[in-house]
Amino acid sequence: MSVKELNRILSELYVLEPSLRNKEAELILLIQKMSDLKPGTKFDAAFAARLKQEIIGLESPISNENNKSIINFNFMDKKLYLALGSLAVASMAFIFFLKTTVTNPQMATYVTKNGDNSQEAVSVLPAGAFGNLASLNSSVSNGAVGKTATLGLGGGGSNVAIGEMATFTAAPADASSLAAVSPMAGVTTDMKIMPPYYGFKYVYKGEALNLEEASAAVYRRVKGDDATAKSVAGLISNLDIAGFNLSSFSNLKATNISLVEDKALGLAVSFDFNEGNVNIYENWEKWTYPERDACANDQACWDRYRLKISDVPADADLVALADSFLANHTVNLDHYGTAIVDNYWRDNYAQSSDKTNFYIPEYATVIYPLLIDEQAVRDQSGNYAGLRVTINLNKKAASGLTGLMPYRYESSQYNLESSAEAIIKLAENGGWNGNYYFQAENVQTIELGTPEKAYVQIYRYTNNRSEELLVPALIFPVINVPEGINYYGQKYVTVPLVKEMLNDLGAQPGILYRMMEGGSGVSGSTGASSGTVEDVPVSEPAIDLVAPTPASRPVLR
Amino acid sequence: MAIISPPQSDLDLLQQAKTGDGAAFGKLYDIYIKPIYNFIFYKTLIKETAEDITSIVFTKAWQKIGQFKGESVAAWLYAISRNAVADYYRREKNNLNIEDFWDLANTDNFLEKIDLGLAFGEIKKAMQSLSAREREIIIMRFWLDMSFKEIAASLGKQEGAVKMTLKRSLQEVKNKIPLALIILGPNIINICQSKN
Repeated sequence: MSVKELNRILSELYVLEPSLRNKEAELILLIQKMSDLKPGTKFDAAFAARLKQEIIGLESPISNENNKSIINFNFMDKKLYLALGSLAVASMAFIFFLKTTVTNPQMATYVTKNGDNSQEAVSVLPAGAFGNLASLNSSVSNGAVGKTATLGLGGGGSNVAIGEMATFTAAPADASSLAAVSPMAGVTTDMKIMPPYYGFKYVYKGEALNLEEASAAVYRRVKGDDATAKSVAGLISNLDIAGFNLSSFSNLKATNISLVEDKALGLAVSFDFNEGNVNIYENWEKWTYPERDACANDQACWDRYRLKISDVPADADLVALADSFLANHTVNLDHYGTAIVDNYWRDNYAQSSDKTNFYIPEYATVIYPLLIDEQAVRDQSGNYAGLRVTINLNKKAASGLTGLMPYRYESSQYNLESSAEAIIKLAENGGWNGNYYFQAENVQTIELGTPEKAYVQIYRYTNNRSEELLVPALIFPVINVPEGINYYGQKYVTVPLVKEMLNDLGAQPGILYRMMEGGSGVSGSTGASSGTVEDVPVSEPAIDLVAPTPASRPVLR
Repeated sequence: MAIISPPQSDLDLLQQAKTGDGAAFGKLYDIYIKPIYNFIFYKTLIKETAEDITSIVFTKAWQKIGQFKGESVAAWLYAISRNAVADYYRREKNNLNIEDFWDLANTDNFLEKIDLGLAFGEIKKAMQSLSAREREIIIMRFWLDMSFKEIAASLGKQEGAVKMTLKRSLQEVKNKIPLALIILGPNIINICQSKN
């Protein structure tokens, strides 16, 4: 190689990458060594031929592309992540590639899906490691409204109902407010005339229960990652924003950050480092409806833009939109089950006598149930819990995502209830949520079918932080939903199987009504149970509380 | 090694492939399979890994072909490859910021699978003093035998602009002996001259 040739090569390299100019000496040595040692690449023509066959055999991508243009589907691709810079990268890293460093000395074994100790893991802890789970129920029965309102977060309306049970109010005098208390809130059209108010009682009609398992794993989600939270804080701590910087602060860590796509139909991505999850929403400033907004006070104009039933895509199309959204955002679905469309409103639509004025929700939700031990996780109302993708029906585009979190859990064995009789009795008392439809007169019977086993997602508060637990439970399906009654929306009754959780389950309000039916004496105040509740056996309830009159049936607001 | 066909030809094939024409994509595949595989191999140095990542790259390219909006098919494919290699190492190394094989520490078990002779250790050490982008260019130039024009295309640089810069740069250095060469001493000059 002549000096002239070397000069040429170096010049070319400097044009391609100017930073190399500062490393000329290393470069020349490296060039010399690389010329001496050039490893063969072992290119295999057979591999190339095989791969070509496989790829060309794949479905043409064009049909998907066409769909995207038709539905105006908006998504961010990988380029966006790059553009979001190091902060976003660190955050995405937190969510999708969370390092699993388990430090708990009590850990007996450590298993992962892939056999390595990378991103996904279930750590097995000794039996009973999560403490007494009975407190999960007593937090409800003790009337801690503020806390119980979030018990079973993400689990639909009835979870909120538990917390609100402590604040019973008089029955609404008009139908519109009754609609607001229904689990089908928002479906008001048919409620202008007050229907007779029925109470309900549950009767088990399923097969004999076979409760053979003496114990089962309870799971606790491992949340957050302090190292990442501190790393993110470090990235911004040197910034000077509006003359203010963070130099006077110490030991900073990020709790959450939000990023938005600054474009039409852009999305907002929110990372919660404490909870260890990521949520995606519409960047609302970029989701505009100029024609509809121009209606001002013209109701007829507004009505023109209301969705009609024909505007709602078929479930398969909604799932396809959600699938595409998740694929484009490289969301790993390994730990989630088959997608289900949450069609909560369709029952009411079917029963509505005035379908023209029925309010069609503007968003649909597709749920990918979280799987644990190959079972779909439910909430305390029995509804599927997991990844929820929101579809904006006006724009026909997926526009949000909640429930995305690293798959990291600890597990611990707990004794299960073996008495089928006790479990059925609890189910007939309304199970976990109690029977908040109970009243003495106008009672209809609701039949419960053979239950299935599932894990139920519940929350426990300790030291000002919430723990997310998955506990084994039975999900009893309601098999005869009463017709023509809009305010009954429950499809399942759930009963935990963990023995120590059952001991004070009987203290919940719904069960109190049930006990009333049996003639128990009552006195005291509704919703705030006495200290005796923890000792109440399931079979012999003896709690002194005020009996709610028909006029003071529970109201959800 | 001529690895890049005239850009217009590539783009024509790509436009056809965008309509779902598998045969057109097959032609692009034939053009790029070996250079892309080799590119990935020099970032991983393990045949099986390079084949796996190559599969990912071309599968992704086919699936995402509708999203191509650039001007250079080569730049697009190399960008996918670059990301796929980085993804691979981040996945394998618990999300550490590792771009390619050359970032790995000597204690990593990946090294056990490599057999490139004694001089390899020295190359690795020298490579680690460069950034991922810098060593990628060096590898392209000296191991992949890519021309200046091909490397520029793979980096998505405008051909006209880099040609102009290069011309100016060459005029500046002409027959000047690089300063580093003088500092490195007569042995290196001899090596350069003996290879002439």
